[in-house]
Amino acid sequence: MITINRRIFNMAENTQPAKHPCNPESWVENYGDSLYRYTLVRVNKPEEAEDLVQETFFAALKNKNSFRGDSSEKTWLFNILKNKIIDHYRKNKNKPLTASELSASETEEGDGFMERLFKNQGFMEGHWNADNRPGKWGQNLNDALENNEFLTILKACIKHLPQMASAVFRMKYFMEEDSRFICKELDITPSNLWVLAHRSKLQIRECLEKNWMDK
Amino acid sequence: MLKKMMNTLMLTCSKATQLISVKAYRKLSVSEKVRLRLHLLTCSACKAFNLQSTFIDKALEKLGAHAAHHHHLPEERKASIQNHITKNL
Repeated sequence: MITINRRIFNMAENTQPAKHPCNPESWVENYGDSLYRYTLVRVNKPEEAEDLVQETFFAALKNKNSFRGDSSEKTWLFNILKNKIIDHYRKNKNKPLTASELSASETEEGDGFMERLFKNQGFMEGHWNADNRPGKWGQNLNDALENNEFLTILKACIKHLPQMASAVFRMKYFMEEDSRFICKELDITPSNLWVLAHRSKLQIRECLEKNWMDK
Repeated sequence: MLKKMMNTLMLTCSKATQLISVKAYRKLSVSEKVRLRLHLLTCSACKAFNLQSTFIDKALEKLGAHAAHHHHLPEERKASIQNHITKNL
């Protein structure tokens, strides 16, 4: 009888959610690298990633009393980091590219980009210009996904998107945010979003075809 | 006249590719879906764009999950953050 009671007691104890500990002293050692790696593919420069990780730790330290232990320390830190990254996109969305970024980029503002890709007059208006039609990419595309060189080129192509377009792209694909959230955070309308999404896709596609397929 | 008829029935490549890009963000309407399908039947360039767009989506997901294992937060930065934490605990 006693053993049964003890078993029931133990079970009750086990169903209590375990409170997760909070050890700021070992944050850097335990999570520094993983937070940094997560950020690195989401921003343009390593220094930006370092700063965001630092801001995350400092903010967490300041608010450590609000850590309730319902989720793990790691999850909590990652949530703070994600908010910092989205803030970073929002702050940068209208920042013009620096001279070096500009010279490396294929960015064309206004209608120039679309006019280069699609005919803008005549019977075939809106159809691909012969020189800029998508080419064939071959059969083994899936192999590329395992190829580090390909991923590096893809990352460089995203880097060369205009700031606002890259913010949209990153929030969609790297932060897995939905359209409504993206519009709200970046203060744009849904139709702005569709235009940016489309131009980014066209630009990334072209960038990959030029820099990867032609190799 | 012919052009007007073409426009309502058939999408231009510019519109078709727009729908292809946007379908990752929102559901297409039935009419949009039908017109896109019709366009893809007759346009090899947009068909290629469609395949490449799906591939790029997949690649971006992969890149997002890419852990960049060989990268580490630089030691000096680690030390300075650690220092700040220890001081302010």
